[in-house]
Amino acid sequence: MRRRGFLGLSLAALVGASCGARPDTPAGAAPAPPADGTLIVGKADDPVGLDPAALTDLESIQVTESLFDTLVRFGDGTLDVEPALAESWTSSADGRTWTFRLREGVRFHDGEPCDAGAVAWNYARQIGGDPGRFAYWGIIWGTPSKVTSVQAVDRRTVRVHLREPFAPFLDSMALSYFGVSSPAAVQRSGDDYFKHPVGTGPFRFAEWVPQERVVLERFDGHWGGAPPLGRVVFRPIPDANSRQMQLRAGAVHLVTQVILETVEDLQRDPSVRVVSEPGMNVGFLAFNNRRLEDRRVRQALRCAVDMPALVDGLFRSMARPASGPLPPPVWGRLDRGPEPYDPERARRLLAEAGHPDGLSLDLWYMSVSRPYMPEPRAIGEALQAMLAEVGVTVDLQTSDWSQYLDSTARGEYDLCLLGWVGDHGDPDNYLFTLFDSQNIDTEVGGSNLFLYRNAEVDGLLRRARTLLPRAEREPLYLRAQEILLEDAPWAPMAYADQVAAHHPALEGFRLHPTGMLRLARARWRR
Amino acid sequence: MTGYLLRRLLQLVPVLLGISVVAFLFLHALPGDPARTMLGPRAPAAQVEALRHDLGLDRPLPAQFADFLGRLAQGDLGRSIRRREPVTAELARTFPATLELAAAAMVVALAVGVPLGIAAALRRGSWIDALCTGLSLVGTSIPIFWLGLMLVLVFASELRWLPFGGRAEVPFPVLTGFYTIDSLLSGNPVAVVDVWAHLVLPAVTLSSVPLAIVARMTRSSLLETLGQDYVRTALAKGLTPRQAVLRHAFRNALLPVVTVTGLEFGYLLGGAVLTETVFQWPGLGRLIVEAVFARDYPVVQGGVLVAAAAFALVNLVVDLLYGVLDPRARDE
Repeated sequence: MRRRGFLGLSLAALVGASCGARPDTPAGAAPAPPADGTLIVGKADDPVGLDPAALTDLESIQVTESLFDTLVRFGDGTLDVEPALAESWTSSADGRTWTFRLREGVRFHDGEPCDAGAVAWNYARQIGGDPGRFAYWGIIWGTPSKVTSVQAVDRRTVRVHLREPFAPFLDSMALSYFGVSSPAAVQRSGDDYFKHPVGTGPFRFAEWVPQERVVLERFDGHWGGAPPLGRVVFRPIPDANSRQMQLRAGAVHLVTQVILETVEDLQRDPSVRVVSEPGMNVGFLAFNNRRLEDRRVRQALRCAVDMPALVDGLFRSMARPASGPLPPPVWGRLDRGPEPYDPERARRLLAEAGHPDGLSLDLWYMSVSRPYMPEPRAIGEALQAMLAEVGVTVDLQTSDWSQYLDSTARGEYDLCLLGWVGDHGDPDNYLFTLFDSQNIDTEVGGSNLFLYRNAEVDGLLRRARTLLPRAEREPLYLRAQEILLEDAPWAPMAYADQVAAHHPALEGFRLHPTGMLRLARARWRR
Repeated sequence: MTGYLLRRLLQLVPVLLGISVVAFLFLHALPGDPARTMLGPRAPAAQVEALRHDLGLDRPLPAQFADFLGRLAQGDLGRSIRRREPVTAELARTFPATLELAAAAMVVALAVGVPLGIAAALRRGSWIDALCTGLSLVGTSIPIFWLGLMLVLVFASELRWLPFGGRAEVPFPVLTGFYTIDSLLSGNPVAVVDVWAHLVLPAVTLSSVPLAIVARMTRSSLLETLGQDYVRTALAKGLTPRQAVLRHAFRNALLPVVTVTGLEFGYLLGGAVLTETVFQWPGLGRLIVEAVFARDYPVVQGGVLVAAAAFALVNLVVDLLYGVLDPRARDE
């Protein structure tokens, strides 16, 4: 009898739930903000570690962002570099030496002073360290490292020596991966430091139960003032549906990586606030320039696809059609608008290139979705249909993500879908990385997966990264982008927004273009 | 008995060794490279090479496998490529979580499945028989992921009776990794209730398949036994149907039920990825799947080994139970 009653109750609840009834709260009302002022963040994944120098992934760095400071940082909502641990800085005339003047009296969470010696020790650890452990150092500074040494001139002065002038130096120093750790804490914890991080950031580390939660607490001694939030809990919730359900119920207060299918639904829900910011990514259809050697074929493929229509149909208004490699927050953009859709011209170009009857190509689509490529299979199918219109027969292929990255980086494809997320706001991070022939590697894999090689572009990009004044660099980047428009090594698709959702009583939170969660100014409205 | 046990345990060694070889070969036959996966598409080739060298991935496969075996003999499963933590530490964290969840799910499956199967067999063709058949069908065919989300929607999101996921909210010292035990040891009743509350929904979700199978197996096995001559004899010599079933038929009908229970429990010990994902349960299944995607070879290797060993041990226990239930099996 009791069991029958229980069953009846569950059925009633199920029906009630599917009708949208909410027994506890009146329809649409936001759950109360937490009494103790804790902010619970629901994330897609647990951090891999909490030593910023040893990280390469966004999920982890979004947590350490609040624990550590860098010498310089990006301003709130911008990609402009502003003072952080360093109050001021100068560069030598040849651009190979940078001198930073540190803020007075900054202390780590363990009470140790954050002086020039501590900063220099941090970078020396990465320059001389194992390239597997300090992976990001290698990604940004290359192997061998462009930063050759870092020296503590006096207690408050740090000098960084470069092998050669490197224009994106300052932007790179603002990356959260180069957050400064307490040398005493690193030495104390040894190999386990990634579980016991100690920085100077607005929050201090309290607890990490792997796969369950990371807990941070307010650091009252922060040089920028103590943050309003007393406690922040990061909770890994791998399933996006579950994440959003918990947000609506008030069990978590901020979620990242909102599923696009549900954005409109969430926007209508008054118990949730959806926030979006232009991201630093570009999603694209890559052409293998070695297999598609004739420029006319690549141009034909580019004007055969209606990217604005595709973005409109499949990105749920959370992206805009791309016009080139540089997304909106980045300076130096050449913006001539998206390529006009012109199947007639595509057919003509193909005929001129010796393919009057069209051609057959493989198109690889990603097995995972990303903001810049929300539904890779559907996008692949849309492209397949558009290309069929001009006589190009496309065979859709996919493989698991690890293999996909590996084989596309080696140029083992005809056409493929992929995207690029920049580290910082310097055009070099996009143009040089993606299109300089130095970055072709068909053995191990390189970031120029298009296998695109143009001596003039190489020259422009290499010169631009050695000059410091933006005014001198910008014309070089504009010229390089013009050549890219003509050469058509790829078809840029979309710049996707970053989307998060939070409790409506949470204030002062804004997504940063770099994808970081800035929590130092977030507060609860009472 | 001791000799038998020892022999069985010794037989495990070549089995596990074989599984290690197969897992190792399959894993390395997969395209994709842990160094590239870890560093991402933007890492320069020289750096990927350096990392491959550091991880020993540039050495010939037989040498890598010999390394693995050599370390294994010393109880060292290596370090995770992704997290750089000893694999044993990762397994020590996730396996108790999986074992606890699987045990809870089996308890639910047996507590509901066996009585339901008995009732269905005794009242063949009645509504309870129809319920048993219906539940078995639903249990085996319902997508676990969907069931889990629906339970969360009803009991966590709407009714707010139970938590959404995770293993615990209230902190307590972790000693054994089994939170049901650790919370008891902490002496904090709030923690105990909290841990059990977290266990309910994932256990019910995970129990759906074994429950269906156990119920169906109990029903059909009991029906078959009830048709046997010795049951008729028992009834003829004046036992009540209740006595005939409980004393004679049930014990014999239990043998196949024990077999499927062992198999199902063994499967669950390999981790239940979907349930673990919906309920943010930090178990072995998720660990292995994430490690496969990251090509974190040492973790996959260690995880597969533990799952296989657990499966084999459960089977051993089942065989021993046979001996208890059926004296003929003891002689063999």
